[in-house]
Amino acid sequence: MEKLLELNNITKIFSGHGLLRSKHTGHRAVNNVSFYIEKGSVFGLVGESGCGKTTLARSIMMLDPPSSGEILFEGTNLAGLSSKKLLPYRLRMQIVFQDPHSALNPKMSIYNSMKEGLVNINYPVHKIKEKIEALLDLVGITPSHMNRFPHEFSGGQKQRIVIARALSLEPEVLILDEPVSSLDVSIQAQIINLLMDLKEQLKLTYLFISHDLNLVAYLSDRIGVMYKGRIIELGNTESIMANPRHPYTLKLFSSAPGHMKIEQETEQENSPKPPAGYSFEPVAESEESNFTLVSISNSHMVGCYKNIGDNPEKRRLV
Amino acid sequence: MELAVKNLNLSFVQGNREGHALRGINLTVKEGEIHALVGESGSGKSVTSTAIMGLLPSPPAKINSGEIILDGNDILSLNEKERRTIRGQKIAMVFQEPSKYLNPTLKIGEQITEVLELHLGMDKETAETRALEILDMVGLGTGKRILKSYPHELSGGMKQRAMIAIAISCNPSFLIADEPTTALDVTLQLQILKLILNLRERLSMGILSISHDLRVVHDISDRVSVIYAGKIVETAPKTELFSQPFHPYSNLLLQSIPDADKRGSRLVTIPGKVPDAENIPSGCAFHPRCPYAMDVCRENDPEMKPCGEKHFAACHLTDNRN
Repeated sequence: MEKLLELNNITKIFSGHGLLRSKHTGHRAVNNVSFYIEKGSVFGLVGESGCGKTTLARSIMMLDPPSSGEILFEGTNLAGLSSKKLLPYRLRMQIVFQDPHSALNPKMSIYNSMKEGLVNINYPVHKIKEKIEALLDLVGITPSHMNRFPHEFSGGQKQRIVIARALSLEPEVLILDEPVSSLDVSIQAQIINLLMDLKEQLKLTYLFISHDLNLVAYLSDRIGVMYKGRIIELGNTESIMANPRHPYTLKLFSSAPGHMKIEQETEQENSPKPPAGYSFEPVAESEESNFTLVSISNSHMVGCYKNIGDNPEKRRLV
Repeated sequence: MELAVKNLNLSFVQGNREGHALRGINLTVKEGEIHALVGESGSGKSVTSTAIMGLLPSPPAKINSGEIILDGNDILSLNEKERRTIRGQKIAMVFQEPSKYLNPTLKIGEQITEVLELHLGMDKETAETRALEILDMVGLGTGKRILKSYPHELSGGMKQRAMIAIAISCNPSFLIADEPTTALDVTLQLQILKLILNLRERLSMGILSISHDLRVVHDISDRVSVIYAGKIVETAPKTELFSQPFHPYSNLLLQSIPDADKRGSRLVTIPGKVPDAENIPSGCAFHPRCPYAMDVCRENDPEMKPCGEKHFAACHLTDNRN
């Protein structure tokens, strides 16, 4: 399948503020991340809070442009474009945030909130109302409610409206940043089903970000596990679920609620082995920069550090 | 020893508006048992726990009827001073967001010794020795470092451990854990759940664990009660609830959880949304969302009836079954 979106060595460094700020001492929120998303597929990005998932999403949208690296959208590098040239690409990618309550302006009616994007792209004025009605209908909100304000809707309804608004510009890629984690259990399933239906109907491509491994495994075609700014395991969902290789992935699996094994402490036995010549933790400080993703099958990669060994000659060569 | 909530009816009154938050809650927690109360937001689970603790401001909260029985005595009939001796000493509580409930201006040590001095009349030195023991018990190490730390110096998981330490400091017979792991990452969540299980063994406390996440409940509880719109609709031993849920709501909730095994198939959904406390539907509160709703469901609110060994459900379908 065609690669719609490809990331090459994305790094995002937040440098400190003030007089002494320096690019070198900054915080590496995203560290050398590379992966691609195929057209019409769902890529699931999973990791705990603070691992850099949201920063990565904002970088892809060029809301927080990456410090280095390439974001290729159908082969065009977005990171090198001027804001004017970026605009047509921005229309093709939209983002849905976690909290629908803060994503909608409380002082604007739903109609006005949804109109903004369409007005900005000079959508024919006489067609706007019709378009908004069609979008609301698509996500299961009664179109006649469009003059209501956000507080008149429940959390699940608000999330539907936010999704409708994201779809108003007819994007090809939707970045979903924890779209259901603030919703009730019974509502979560409704939104997930809606997202999967929309994907089929509108031939969308999703980057689905979540901390919930069960959820990501349910709906993604491929998964990237993120830890401390790095992708530490990447591959097909089936392959990762059947054979998690990185100790952190394994830890996420065994901590997922509903899978707790209290009596069995057999983690040592099952502890995964890194590929030969590599280790999961840097052995020496100088190996810190040797982090790579190593293929263990044609659809599965695991992140580890290349061992240089203690031979000083060898070290000089590297 | 047993903590029992009997037919508790509670509403929030504001002007001429009245929201029926709890509509006849019956619940028992036995010594050494973990009883989980599961429900969605707005179903009344936190109101139940704060009502047991006597922490609801009145007004607007109004207890219309019911009893909360601890050790044979109805604690609702006690005055505030007597209530205070129970709170912390007999029943303690752990909240969802530790950063909100720890005092940011006091060191962790002071927050633990305060409880010990107040409830058990310890002097400062004994209290400090005891505080060290408790911190060790909750896995915060044996050194004095934590005692001398302020809440902001601790991570989220450590703060939750510190709050558990405060809660168990007086050896309470019952602990109410109100979503203790919801604000934490999955790996930390597991550690805290294991800690709670471990403390139950060591202190043989009865625990009322409140959660919206059925998967968390599956990991730690002995018995599960499902609450919907201020009423418990099903209560059963854990394994039975997960293998043979009787009430349509419990059943649908279980089926709507996404899991890798369900890949490629659509998730089961519950149409509509949780009713708010001011507009509870007539009859069975779940009937507008229930796929099996019958005429009788619109008119009569079903009572809890047995549908298995130690398994009760409030659903008119129990009648058909018997």
